Amino acid sequence: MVDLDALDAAGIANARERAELIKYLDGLGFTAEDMLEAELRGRLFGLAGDVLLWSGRPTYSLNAAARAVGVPVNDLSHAWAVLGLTIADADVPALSQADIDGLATWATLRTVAGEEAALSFLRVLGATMARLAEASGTMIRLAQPDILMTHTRDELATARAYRAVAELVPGISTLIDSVWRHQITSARTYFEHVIQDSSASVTCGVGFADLSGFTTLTQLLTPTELSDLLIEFSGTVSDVVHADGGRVVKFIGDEVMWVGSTPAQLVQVAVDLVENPRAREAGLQVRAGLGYGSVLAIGGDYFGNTVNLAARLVTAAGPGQILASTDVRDELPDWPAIPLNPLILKGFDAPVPAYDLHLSR
Amino acid sequence: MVDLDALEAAGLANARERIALIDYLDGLGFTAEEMVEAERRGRLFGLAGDAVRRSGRPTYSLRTAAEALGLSLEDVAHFWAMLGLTVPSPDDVVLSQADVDALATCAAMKARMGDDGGLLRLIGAAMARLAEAEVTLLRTSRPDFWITRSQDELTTAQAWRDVAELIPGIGAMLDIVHRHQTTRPRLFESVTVNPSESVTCGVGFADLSGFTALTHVLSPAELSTLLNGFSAAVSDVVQADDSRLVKFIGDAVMWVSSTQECLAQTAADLVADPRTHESGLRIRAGLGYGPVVAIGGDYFGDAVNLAARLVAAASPGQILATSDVRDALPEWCAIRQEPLTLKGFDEPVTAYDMRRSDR
Repeated sequence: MVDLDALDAAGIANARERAELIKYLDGLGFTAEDMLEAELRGRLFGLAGDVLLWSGRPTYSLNAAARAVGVPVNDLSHAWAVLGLTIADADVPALSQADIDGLATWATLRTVAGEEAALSFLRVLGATMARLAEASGTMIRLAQPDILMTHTRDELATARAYRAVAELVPGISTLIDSVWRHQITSARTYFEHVIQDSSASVTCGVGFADLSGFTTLTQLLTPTELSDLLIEFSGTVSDVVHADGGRVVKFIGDEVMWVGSTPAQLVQVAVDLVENPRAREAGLQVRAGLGYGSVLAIGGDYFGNTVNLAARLVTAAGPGQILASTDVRDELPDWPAIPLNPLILKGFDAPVPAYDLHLSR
Repeated sequence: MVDLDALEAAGLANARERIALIDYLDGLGFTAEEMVEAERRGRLFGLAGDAVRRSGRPTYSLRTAAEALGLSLEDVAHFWAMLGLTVPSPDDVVLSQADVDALATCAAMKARMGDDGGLLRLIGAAMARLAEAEVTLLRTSRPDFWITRSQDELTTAQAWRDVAELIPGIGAMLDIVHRHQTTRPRLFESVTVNPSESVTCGVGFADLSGFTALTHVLSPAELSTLLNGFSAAVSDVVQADDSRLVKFIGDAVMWVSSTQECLAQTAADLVADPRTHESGLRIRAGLGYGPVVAIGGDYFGDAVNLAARLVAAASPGQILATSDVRDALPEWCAIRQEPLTLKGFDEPVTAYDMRRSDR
């Protein structure tokens, strides 16, 4: 039985009025200390869900963690910040055993790959997971609005809804780990086809595609229509790129960037995107820009002349057009191509020859 | 003791010449069947590392996984494809128990959240990107990792095993970072008050002016150093100012901030950051504020389009902002610009050159 008066006296405001919530938490096995601590953070309603999201009970302070991992506390604190995470006080327990194990992997990585390379990787990791966390947060809010106090105005209802969603998290952890391990194989296989040496340079095809007239669309559509359109577009594009053996590098608004190990594969993806029946049904026109050559692969992204050129070509393309650089064209002598008048492109001093690989078909 | 003749008879070519590799694998406890199976896939040298990399012994095919989960084969194959993974033939035994548990989560997310794959695609894309970053890191620090480079099966087998041992640890790191990112004090708690995709926030773009021209003349190593330095400096500044980094687009960065103050602060700190001056390039920025649609960790809408167009119109070292930003910052020094004609906007847009006022 919970002693509501004692809780009230200890600092849980209006404990009597919140008896239902407190009973629910008590039933899940939370102690009075757990509840007080959550109330201090202003998240008594979140306690039931928060514990499922945590990586474990916080038992290490930053100072203790540095000792356990065997690195200077400033290095550890910097690594944590690079991951996009913050710890205000180095003496307050904030990290779990699982966190310490994760940081130990960083310490190993640092000895294998070097200080700067390991930090760059943490930066990509932090940004990627932040984006994932934010995206899943948005989706969950939409599917389960009851997790918002501002929506239910009822602590118990929100506590229950939040707990129900949080129950998915251990499963999502398993999912992330499984996908991560398979993607390593996929990335390894891809790089086996494109590397020249042990430098960061690889030779591959780079493609960009976008929806003609998208900026105008963002001004015409409602948020929900825009959201539906982009989810549909990114889903279709991912399926097409993967089906043709390419790799999606990223979505930039309505634009997709992908890489392919051969010019033929690169062009195939572009044709399948431009001719995609689902985009056509929606009345949308896709256009593409393609380059092939040596690029710099850093942190899961690609840089260099070939990338810049492909990105400029897509903006120069008309609706339904696929513009390719000379490098792509030369690799595919049998593909029908219409040479265009050399294009003046931003960042390129001389006019750039380009070929239309689509309208020619 | 390994029976080389039996291995050779079972299909392992030139077993005698590859005795060092076979002894190494035998010493790690791999059976003759496992070696023959790896050889069939042309990856005998990869076996030692592959075994640490995978999430468990493969015991399910897509078909048996679907049966175990009570789902149709099409559903399971569709989940796998949405995660960005190559769908195997229905009867290939390639999935571990952990993979089947992962598929169960896909089904649960669909049932509980009505997710039609948006989140699965995001997870797939995020992991693909990280896997590339990881493989790049490993291949540049341990080049022997590649058979094409070492030309020696045993050397590559050992190098791949060494680096593969990091993969489960990094997987564990992904989990803790995901959990902390999910629970950290919400940057946008103040702006996301409704269960809708629409939020009101500040959007900033910054880039290195003159970067494209520079990529023509720099060596890959110089370019790599420049970009790593830029992304490190930008990530640190954006985080220190409590803004959120949305993405890098070549030499450009996009971030969001919950207030105009925070948005302009981040831009000013980026332009002033000494690390970004080392290359001799100057940063410029474009800022917008208003209702935007948040989808999949990205942002869309007028404020985004405007900010992106403004950065392209800015000169080196300049911060151009819309009146929505400027009006909330009376303390800042703002110089009204000639109305700009921007692509995608019918009306000329009034922009302000923003500077922190020196007091």
